[in-house]
Amino acid sequence: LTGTPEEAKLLARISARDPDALLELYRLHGPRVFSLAYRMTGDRSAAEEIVQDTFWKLWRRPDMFDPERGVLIAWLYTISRNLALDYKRKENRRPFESVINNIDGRVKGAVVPEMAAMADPSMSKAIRNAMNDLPAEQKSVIDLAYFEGMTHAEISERLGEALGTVKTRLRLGLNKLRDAMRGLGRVNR
Amino acid sequence: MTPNGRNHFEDWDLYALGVLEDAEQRDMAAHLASGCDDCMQLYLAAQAFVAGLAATSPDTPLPPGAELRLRKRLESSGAIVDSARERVPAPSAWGMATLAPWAVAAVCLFAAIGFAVGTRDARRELRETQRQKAEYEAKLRQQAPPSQIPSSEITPAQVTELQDTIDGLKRELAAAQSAKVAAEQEVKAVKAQLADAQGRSRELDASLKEAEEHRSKAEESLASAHLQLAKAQADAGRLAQASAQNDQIIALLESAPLSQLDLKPTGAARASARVFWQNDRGLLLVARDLPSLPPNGSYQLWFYRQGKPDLVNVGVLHLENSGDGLLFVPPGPALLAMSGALVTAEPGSGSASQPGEEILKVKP
Repeated sequence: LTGTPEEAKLLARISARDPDALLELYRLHGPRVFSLAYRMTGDRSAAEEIVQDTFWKLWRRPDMFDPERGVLIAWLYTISRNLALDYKRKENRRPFESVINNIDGRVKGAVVPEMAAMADPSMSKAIRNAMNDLPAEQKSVIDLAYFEGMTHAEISERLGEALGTVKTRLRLGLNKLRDAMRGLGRVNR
Repeated sequence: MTPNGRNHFEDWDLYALGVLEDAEQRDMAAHLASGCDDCMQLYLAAQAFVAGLAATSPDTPLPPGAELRLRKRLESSGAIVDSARERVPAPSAWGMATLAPWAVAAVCLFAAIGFAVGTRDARRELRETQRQKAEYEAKLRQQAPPSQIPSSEITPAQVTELQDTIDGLKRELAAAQSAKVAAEQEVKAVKAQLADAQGRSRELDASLKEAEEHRSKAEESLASAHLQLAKAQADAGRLAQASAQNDQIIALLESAPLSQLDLKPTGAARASARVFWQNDRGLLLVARDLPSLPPNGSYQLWFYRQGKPDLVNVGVLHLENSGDGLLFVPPGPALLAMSGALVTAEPGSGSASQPGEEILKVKP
């Protein structure tokens, strides 16, 4: 569940303060994280800065990620998304990352099997296809929630749709994505 | 169990996605912090699931040199030379060996940011960071004399704190530079729009002037057309009147019995005239070889009658270019009372009561 053996070795070397290991990990996951940051900011230099900051956090505090509890790419995505939202808003609407970090630091032994598939880059296309198969109105609310960091109310205002409609579309869309990923044989709930 | 009594992965999906409103988001965070391991499992699963949405981003390659820039960052942080530094004995003077590289790097970065950004926010952030740095250094000095603290006791957390500040400022710098570029592009676009609008304004002014000239000409043409129409209408009226009179003349000449009488010249002129009449159809005077008139002069027909006045004005002759004259008198009391006729030359457009020079006449 913890990603590839290569990834685990790199993490061990990073914990041992080997900078070359961080650079190797950057080569491995940097493009995927950059794709997310660029999708969210639309600015190449800002996206590169966000990716660099994401890896820098891992370098400074490798203990923040526990390989027994999840997949590294999911962790990198989460950190870079929060940084991108910081960049977009200048200040966090919520101390989201600190909540995560505090929780991660406190709770031990939790296991996250759902996104083991994410450790395999070839699955990205399958996830993307699942997203594209959603009805446009469901895809739209998921895009606004995830990539723009909007709340229910903000999405409702942006789209001019009732709040209940937005919530329903979001739940339906997320459930369909779960079902699709389950169909990929990688996600079990 | 979530704060709202639900224990469903959907709620934690929404929480991990960040779409809940602030109050609900805080409640769920507090619930996690309270130590509910079941919900923690759900939350971690949701967090991973939501992170998977990132994979829907279109693949975009890293900019050239990105890895090199990360390497330089590692170098500037001392990470790459850490092992070499460990082999060098720490200087006896506290703090300077360890803190100085960070302080110098931070001050340089602060100065660079201050100059590069030049924004109020960046300057405020810089001042605040400098203040925090001064407090931090003062606190360290209070906690232990520099000479008693080896450089290795500067904790990674303290270094991390400073680096966090630097990271934040760098992001501010990147955001401010992007905003500046965007603003410059916007100014450029607005200037282009302004120039375009001014060009269109000049074109519109020229078009307006041209249109006004056309309107003026059109008004002149319209006035001229109105004048010509009025003239044509007058001509048509006159033609209609002449036509009606011609009809009356023809009807008179075709009628029977038709009386006629010749007028004799009163002087040396060889002029002659004849009147044709019937009491019910009117009278026609036809004069020939009339002598030339002075400018604006006219020939006038008068009737002799019984009683007073014994001479009445009948009308002015219509003269042809050949010197002939013609006058039709419609039926009426004047014709019924006629006993003779007189043609006079008048200086103007005719006289109401006093006849001028006698030219032709017939008097019973």
